[in-house]
Amino acid sequence: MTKLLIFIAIVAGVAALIQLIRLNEVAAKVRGERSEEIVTEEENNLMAYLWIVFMVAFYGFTIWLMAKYQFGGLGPSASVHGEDMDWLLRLNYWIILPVFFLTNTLLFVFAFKYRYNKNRKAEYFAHSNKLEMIWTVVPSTVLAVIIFMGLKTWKKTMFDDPAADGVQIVEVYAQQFGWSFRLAGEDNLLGDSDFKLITGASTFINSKGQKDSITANPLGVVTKDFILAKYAEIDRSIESIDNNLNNSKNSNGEFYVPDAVVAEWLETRDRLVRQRYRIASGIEQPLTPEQESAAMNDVYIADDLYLIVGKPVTFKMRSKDVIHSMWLPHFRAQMNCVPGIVTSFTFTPKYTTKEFAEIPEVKEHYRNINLIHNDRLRALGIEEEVVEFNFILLCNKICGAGHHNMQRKIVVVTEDEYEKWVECVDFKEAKPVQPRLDLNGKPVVYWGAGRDNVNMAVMNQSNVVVEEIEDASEIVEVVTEENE
Amino acid sequence: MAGGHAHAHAHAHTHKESFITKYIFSQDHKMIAKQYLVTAIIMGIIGIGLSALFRLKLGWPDTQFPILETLLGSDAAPKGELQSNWYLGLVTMHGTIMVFFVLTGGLSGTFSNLLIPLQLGARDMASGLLNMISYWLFFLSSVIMTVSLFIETGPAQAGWTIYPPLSALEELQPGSGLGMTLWLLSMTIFVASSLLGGINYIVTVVNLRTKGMKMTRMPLTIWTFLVTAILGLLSFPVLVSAVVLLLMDRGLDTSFYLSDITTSSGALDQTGGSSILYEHLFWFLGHPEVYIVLLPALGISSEVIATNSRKPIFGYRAMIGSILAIGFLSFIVWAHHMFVTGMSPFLGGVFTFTTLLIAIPSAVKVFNYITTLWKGNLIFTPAMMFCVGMVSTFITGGITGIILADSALDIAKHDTYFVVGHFHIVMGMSAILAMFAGVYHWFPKLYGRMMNKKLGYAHFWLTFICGFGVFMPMHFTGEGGLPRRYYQNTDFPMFDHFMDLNVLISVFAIIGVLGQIIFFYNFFYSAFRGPRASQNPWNGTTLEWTTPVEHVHGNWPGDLPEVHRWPYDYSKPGWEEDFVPQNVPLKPDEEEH
Repeated sequence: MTKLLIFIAIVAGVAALIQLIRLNEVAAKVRGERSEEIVTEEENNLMAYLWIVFMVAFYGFTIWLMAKYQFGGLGPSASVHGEDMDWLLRLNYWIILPVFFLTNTLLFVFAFKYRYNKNRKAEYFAHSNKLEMIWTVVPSTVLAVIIFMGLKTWKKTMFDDPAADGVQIVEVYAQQFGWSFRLAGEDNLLGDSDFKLITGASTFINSKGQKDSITANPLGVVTKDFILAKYAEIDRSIESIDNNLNNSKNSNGEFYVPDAVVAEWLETRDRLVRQRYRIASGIEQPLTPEQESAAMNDVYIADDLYLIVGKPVTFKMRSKDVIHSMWLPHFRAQMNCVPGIVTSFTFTPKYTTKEFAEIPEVKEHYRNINLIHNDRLRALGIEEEVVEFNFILLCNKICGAGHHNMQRKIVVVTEDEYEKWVECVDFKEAKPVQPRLDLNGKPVVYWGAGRDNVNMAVMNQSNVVVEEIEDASEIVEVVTEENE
Repeated sequence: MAGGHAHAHAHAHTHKESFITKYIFSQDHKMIAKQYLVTAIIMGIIGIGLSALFRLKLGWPDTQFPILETLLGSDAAPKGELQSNWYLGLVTMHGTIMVFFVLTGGLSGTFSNLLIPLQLGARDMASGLLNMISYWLFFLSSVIMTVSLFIETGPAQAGWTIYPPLSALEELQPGSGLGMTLWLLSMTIFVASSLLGGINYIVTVVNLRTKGMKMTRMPLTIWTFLVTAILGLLSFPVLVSAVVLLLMDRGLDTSFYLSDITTSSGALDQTGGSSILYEHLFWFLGHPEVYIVLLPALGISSEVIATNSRKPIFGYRAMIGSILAIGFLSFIVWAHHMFVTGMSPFLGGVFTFTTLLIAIPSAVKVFNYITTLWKGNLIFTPAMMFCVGMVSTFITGGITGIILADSALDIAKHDTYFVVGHFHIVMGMSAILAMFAGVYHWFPKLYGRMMNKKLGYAHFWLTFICGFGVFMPMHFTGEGGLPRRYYQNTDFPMFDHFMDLNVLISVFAIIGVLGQIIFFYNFFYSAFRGPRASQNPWNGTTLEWTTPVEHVHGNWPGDLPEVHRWPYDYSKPGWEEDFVPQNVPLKPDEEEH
């Protein structure tokens, strides 16, 4: 209500202003014909002084923003390459801020100083090769430095191999509106995947001739059994369409359902047949044992991702539907996830989540965040909560109605903690899913398949409160206890 | 130009027009300019109005605004709660309308049409008929785009860049159905309009200059309109091809952009396409488009600043050189929008280099403007206020471009509010301020009347202050990693410290939008009731001020003026007056400049 009143006040204010100036206009008409064409000396001086007033206010505002928000509260770079980027960013600011203040000052001060004076004539100064040379050469030189430094950092970030002793490979899979991951397993090789093999729950006869079932193959990973599971799913769908078609005929053999519905069934049936053929000819035939073993020990994660501090990680990104963008602001890492191709980004986490949360700057910032966050919750009448620091993965490319809430925690831990986590992942989720053996005879688990929450409903209410972000170490501790 | 003379006589006698040929299907460039301007102002009301609506949601995420339900309907905002797909629809339409309909159609359409014949000493455009068709296609595309706001599933919602697959399939987003079809249709018609206009501008500039109007005596406005038209002619067809391929993907099951997609209806047949192809095609238009918007703005400011400084524009030839350099470079920088799309990092390096090169001609222009003010005798007409303001926004927005052009830094800035702040200041504010400047400056030429000066000042300060108030803080939310096109930021507690700042931005935005009421009032009131203008109200030197105040068909009642000097003879030593119009012959011992 108060907001509405503010609006009304603003509108009324504008209306009043218009009336006032209209009055002035009438007065001007009385004064003379060319009144709107000639700027009086008072007006001109007023405007000239206002430039200076504006300049001071503008600088004040900018400096206030810089002092209060600085680099936006992200804290130092949590990745190794990000430190170079931050250094480069600061270098850029050291160059552009003086330019900003200097050129704007020249502009406003000249506007003030050379305001109209009837006793003076403007200087007929049309060009000067010397001056023009100066402001071609000086910016060029400065830009040469910026370009050189920029390309150096770009090369280091995108091309240089960060570690000789191997990089951990993790697949990042984006879809409307969530993220999931696939760890490459012990061999550090991701198995092949194909979007045509994305399957829901399916019961089938596996390659050993036994009855088998899976809860899902959400990433379309390619293995013999997953292909068989997909065939089973397709066959079931075709069968159900055939049943529908048979049951929709009257005694004369004519369809009594609308033509459009029949056409849609037939189209879907055709598509399924095509898909089955494509899988058989394009995926099943060329499948090699090496491919299959690479896929066998991959681990599917539909929850927070754990990374090892100091160990370089390469994210291989795929998308199920539209373009998404993997955005990790704390790590200064970003890459789009494009359907049809695999993109990648490599970085090395520098701090564990726990260490990063303890950095004074970050600690102070989160104290502040907690105050603001809980003020809001109180105002909404929602129970207060503790916001703890976490590295967050966001989507940064418009992807539809739920774009604003695609998030996952990235938890950086030490190698020991990571090992425990991986173990737990296997152990904890092994029970609901049928234990399966990979080619080496070890159990393989696609973790989290049963609790695939990636298709979460889009929440439009503004009162949605983010689930409490748990501390990384707590999870590890809890899980460890369970294990023992 | 002997033909011109015969033409003049023909016009002087036969001149009876019906209402329809004079005001609606007019082929007179001055009337077409007015039609463009009024259409653009109406589209502008819609475009900035939408921004105020979505800023309500961003500023006060927990409040319901019944006004939204009133304005947008209960599908879009039940109980005053804006829906997220509609939020994206508003953002998309705001971007599309402002970039294409206001700042391309409106800015270039109005002032190219008005000024090219008047400043060159031509009777009219090379082809009046094409010109008329160009306007009516623009009008039609504006209507279609506006209509798409009123359909049930909402307007296009994929952002103004409409990247497929999001824009290709209705299963992925409701706005990708009819709303997107209308968007594509409207843009195709828009491009046709813009091409017809562009060809006409180029032909007119090349062929219809009056006697003595050498290329190096053309006002800088004409130079920018010429380069703008060339840019449009070379880049808009690429947008059309992108749009046609997208239409085929949508309707004919081709796979130019689509590959390996699974939707709620299962795996699609399409494989082998690449949405990165679309991005390349789009930005091959999209980046020159930035300069299609910006160059006319720079041309207008050059003219207004020189006139009101009573001083020649500094470095006329350097200005032409930098216009040409910007025009050329604008074609080889497009992929700087795509550093993190998965495009080859080698390309990223190349495009960083070319993009940063643009800073050089831009810096030359800025310093030339500042030097023009130096030792001038500045008259702060409302137009001059807008132009000085425009130089400030060009500097302020331009320097953050240096950060974004750097591929390494762009990784952490891409698609954040930093980008939103940057391009709104450097392109949005600069172009809109210059457009206002153009309206205030040439209003006497358009309507033969004067706009109210005091309202002009009030309008300027409100717009200028609110503009910076809105977009400066966005750099800081961008530094904090806040992604753009988020319907609300409250799902992430890590952005909660920006809550106050978002309120501040929204307050500035809403005041700024309401401030435009002053302009609309001033514009429409003055067009009908403003005091009559004299022939040369600002004491300008260019040829448009030698035409009579009342519009005549063919612009000059008698012979066409002959040009003897460059357009910037302000305060020339040896002359009593502080301006010497272009059609005044040189004195016997006078040097040209």
